[in-house]
Amino acid sequence: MKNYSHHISVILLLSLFISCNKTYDEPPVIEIPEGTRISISDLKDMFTGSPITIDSNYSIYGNITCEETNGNFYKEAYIQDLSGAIKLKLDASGGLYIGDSVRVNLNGITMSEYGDLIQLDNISVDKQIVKLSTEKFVIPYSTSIDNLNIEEDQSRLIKLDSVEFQSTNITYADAINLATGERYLNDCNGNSILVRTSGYANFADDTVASGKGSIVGIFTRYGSTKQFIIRDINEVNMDGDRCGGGSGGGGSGNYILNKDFNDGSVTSGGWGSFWSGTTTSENWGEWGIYGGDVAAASNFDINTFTNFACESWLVSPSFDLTGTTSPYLVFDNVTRYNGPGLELYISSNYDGSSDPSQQGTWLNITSYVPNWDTDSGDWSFVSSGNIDLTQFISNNLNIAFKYIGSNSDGATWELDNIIVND
Amino acid sequence: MHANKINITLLFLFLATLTKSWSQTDSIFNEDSVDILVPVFTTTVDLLENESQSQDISGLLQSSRDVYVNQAGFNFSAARFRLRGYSSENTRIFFNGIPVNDPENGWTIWSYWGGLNDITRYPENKFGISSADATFGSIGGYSYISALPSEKKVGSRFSYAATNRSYRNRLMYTYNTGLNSKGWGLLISGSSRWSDEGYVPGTYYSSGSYLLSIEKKVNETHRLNFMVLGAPTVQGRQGIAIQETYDLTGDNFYNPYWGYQTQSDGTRKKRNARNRDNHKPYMTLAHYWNISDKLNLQTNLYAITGKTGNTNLNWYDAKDPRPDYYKYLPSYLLNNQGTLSGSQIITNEEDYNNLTALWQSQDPSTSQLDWDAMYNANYKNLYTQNNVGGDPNNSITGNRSKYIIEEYRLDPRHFGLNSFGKYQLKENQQINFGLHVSRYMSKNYRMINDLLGGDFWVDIDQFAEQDFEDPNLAQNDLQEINRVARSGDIFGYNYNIHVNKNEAFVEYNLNTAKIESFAAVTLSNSTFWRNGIMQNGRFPENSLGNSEKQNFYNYGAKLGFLYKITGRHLVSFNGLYKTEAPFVRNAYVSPRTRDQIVPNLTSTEIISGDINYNVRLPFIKARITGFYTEINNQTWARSFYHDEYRTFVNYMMTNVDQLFMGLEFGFESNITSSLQFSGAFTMGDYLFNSRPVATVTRDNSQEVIAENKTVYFQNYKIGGMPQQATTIGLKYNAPKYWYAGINFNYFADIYLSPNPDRRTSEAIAGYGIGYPYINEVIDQTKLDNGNAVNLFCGKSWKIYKNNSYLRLNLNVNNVLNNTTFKTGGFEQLRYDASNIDRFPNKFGYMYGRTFFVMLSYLF
Repeated sequence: MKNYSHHISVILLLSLFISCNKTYDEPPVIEIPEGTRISISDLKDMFTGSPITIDSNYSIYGNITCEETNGNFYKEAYIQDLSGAIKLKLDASGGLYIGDSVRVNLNGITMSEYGDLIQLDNISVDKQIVKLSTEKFVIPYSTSIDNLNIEEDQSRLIKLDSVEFQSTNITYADAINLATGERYLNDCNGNSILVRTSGYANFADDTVASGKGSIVGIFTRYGSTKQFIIRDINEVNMDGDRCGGGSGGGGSGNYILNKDFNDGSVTSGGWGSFWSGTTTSENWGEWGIYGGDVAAASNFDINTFTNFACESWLVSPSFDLTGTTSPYLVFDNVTRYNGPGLELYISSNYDGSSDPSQQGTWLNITSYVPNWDTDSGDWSFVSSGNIDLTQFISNNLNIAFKYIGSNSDGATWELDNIIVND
Repeated sequence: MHANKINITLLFLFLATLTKSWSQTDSIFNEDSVDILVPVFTTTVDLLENESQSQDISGLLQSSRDVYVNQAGFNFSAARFRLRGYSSENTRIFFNGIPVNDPENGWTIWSYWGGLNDITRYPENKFGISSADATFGSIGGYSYISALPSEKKVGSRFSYAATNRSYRNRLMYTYNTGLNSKGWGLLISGSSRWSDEGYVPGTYYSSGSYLLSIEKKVNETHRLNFMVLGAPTVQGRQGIAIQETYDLTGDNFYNPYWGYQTQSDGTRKKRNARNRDNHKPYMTLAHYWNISDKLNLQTNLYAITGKTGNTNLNWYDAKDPRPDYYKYLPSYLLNNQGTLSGSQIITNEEDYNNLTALWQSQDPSTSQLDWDAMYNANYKNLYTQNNVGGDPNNSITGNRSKYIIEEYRLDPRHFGLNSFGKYQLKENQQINFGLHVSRYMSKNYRMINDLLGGDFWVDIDQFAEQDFEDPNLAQNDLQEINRVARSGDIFGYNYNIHVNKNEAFVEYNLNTAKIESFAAVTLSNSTFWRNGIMQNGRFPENSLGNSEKQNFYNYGAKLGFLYKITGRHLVSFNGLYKTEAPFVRNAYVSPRTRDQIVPNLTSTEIISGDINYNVRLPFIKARITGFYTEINNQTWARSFYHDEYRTFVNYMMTNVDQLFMGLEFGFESNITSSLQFSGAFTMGDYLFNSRPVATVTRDNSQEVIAENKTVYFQNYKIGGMPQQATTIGLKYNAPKYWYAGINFNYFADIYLSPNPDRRTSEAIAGYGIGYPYINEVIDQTKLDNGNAVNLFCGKSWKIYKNNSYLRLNLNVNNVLNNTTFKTGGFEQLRYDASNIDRFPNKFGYMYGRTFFVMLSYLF
């Protein structure tokens, strides 16, 4: 084999000649300047109502109070120091976690407002933020809804005690259509705050807590409206007795019936939709959601300029008026274009699931409605006025709206805020 | 006159031949210059790359003596032509007795022995349905590459080549002793090929190869052989992109896979994120046994091991780093905000113009990866991970990498026994037979290749984390909650695929003065299963451990008949029917996460026939063939990332029928003794021939997105290759040992592979009947026809002193530097039916002018 050794060494040389994987040096660290430290409160004081770009080498130091992990926050974070808190709008999702103690360099950053909530725009976690340490958790500020100062407390991590959701048989948001949910949170003294939840949150599909208790989250505002964002569903501990007794469990807050369509669903909360008609690109005349938060029915296809004959029912869940003295129904409505009017019915023997055109004795109470909208050429809702339900008091009532269209005409009807109250 | 022409055409159509013997013409200048070209259609990039590798089979075919195949093999490869439209699994290849088709998908990946050109130069080739010694084979033909010292040319060969394709330089050395007086023989070959940057920006190539084959002739009855080969290859890859990026950068070879990384000395170095790192050694021990004058048997024990790795970027809770992500392109500003033209007021026209200018100037942090930014993001991402490994007392604080380079590994462990032989029944009758037993396992996993300056990575699924409240659902392995992974650690997924196959065949040959014929049958049994090593949090019940075994019995028969009208005119026909077990690669809806089988998994059915007429006159050799093939009940699977679902979506179709029919014509004509005129032409119709049924699932949820969805695929063209191709060439062989030639090639009927989901009623449900926009969603894209002109020449010198030769060869491909020929691409699987341009098609272009020059010394 000796004779072959030089041949083999040539082969080895050749196959080992390959330069393996390329190697690279780690690139140098790009330092983020420390700059002059400024408190969040002083920073916010610099804001005078119009966007301002910070041209000094300022830095704020603070702790992060929310994170995007569960999907309820997106491209945003809230930072808090002893003086106050402010919202960071991020240029990209990710990278900040609850408890991060950070320095944010503000040179070149614009401070602006959205609905009067002050925010720092277009923050790059990689380019503006240095993490100093982790797990420095801020203890939430315990307060009550009426004590929240819409200027000083905005963007702070807060804890509210003895509060309950107004409507309880409803989810936090619409996880199907990924639409934001707005749910009133009340205390027992008539104060309320709006809990906003992203449809992307991993708990969007959960039914809201039914009892009374404490909740932790970020306090925000939109104009003069107080708002609240849950940062972790495990910080919602509301299983005590509700205001005025009872531990919730499917009650409906202050109202006997309250359907505001804000969850983007026609049928949530036990409502039913029953339709017969023509389907092309959609079921023409069927009740659907328009603009995210109102119910609408129309039998007119604008692409083909065609009306389709239909009959379309929107039926409430069963409600019980036996404990009431002067119950009433009220709703918002608007109509446009030529066609039959919307009809209103009530039944005391509907089974809750069948097609109302087939089952149940339905009394037409259309004429009881004080104020039906007429086509005035705009889309402004009008209130129906209170419809007295006293004469119908019993334990199994359903109301229904019936939309009718023909092959030659049909109006558009929209409904919102259908409330039965005493 | 007309009637005569038609008659002649018909005659051509209905006649033919079998090519029985195999000449050993030297085709160095052709074969060596074949390169891996831009990728063919597929939707995950890994498939994309593998498919492109498998296309390189053309190198084998150039040494075919067949007048059509040897021209098509070389000249059509630039356009990713496939013979008769068949993909790689339909051609069976043996390397010195080892069956090298991948048991998982049937493909042959040529680069696993790339650089061993001196060995692979003269295979035994049979094309189409044919008789074969070692296997029943399939419809695409059969090749047997021998690496026995006793069957290769004795002597040494040393060569150096320079080129400007994937690599720049190549050194190659081969030495063969032949058999010495004691019956020993040694064959060794090795090479290295490298480039710091290839034809496409940001690509590089670094490859070695080795082969050692020892033969011992024990006596006239027994011979033994041991062979080992391998080709360690590291390669930076090219990605194909959408037309917008080519237009913006003004470069049809724009490559989104690379970016600059600043070095410690302040210089910037190009770094590619998509690297291939393969080394798959093949070993065999063979026994050649002449049992009697009439009976011989060759038996190979073989082993295939090693690794195949492909790297990619991954990121957690951070910006998508890919420069050509659709939200980073100027068009995204248009899509969101309306068009720039017309009366619409554009609030972000300035942004649009700025972004366009950055792309046009090829600002490296805009149009390429930004490595420095990724490192700096990792340097600063201080993070505390609690409950590490499921231990509440274990927590780690450090820089959690936002960006990493991960490596997808598929490491084969394949052992088998292949035995085949011949029995001479009578003088003109012969029986071939064989048995193949194969036990295959592949280890599939993902590992951390580079933490890019960070300290660790946590093995959870970001998308499941956002989707589900239960934190266990985000765990990739419930056996080790919150696994902290560092460089070299496995994460994400880890499973083994097993494929056991046993097959046997027997073939009968009858050859007389007038007739050559064969008939063969085969039987096989395949079993495959998945063995999960991780317990996935989304699929705790069906991710860990051995899955149910899938078992298939298959059979096939083929027949060929050649009739010699005279010695110069031959007609033949061949037919084949067989069933084949579905490939395991397509059988699991999401093998990364679970062992769920594609619904309605069945065997594929192949029906094929061809009819040929061969003429061998002194001045012209020609063949014309008509062929018809159905491949029915195929399974098709692809995965793609869907931003909206924030996960991988798996798209599977069953009942995919394909139809291949067409004509082939080739000729070689000697105008004078030194001037040869040749040409080849093919025209095919390669179609989908059924309405497949689709199942769509996602990796991070049990939810099935769609089931039993009908795909209206009937008569859509199979994409990614020219269905029509022509080559015409002239070659001059000078008496003074030099030659020169020119080829003109023309390619037509190239289609993009259709995205099945765009051909469903759901895709167009939003439009009224007859709405014109529907056609934009469902119509298939046809690419422009293209052409390329190639030149080649060479000279050899004999050095009489020591009886050696020196040869010089030069090839110039695409002499006219045509850089606008789109050779393929794909429709993105993600689409928006209301705005089909939002996720536009991706295209790849044929290389412009390239050269290959080689000096070789034979001694």
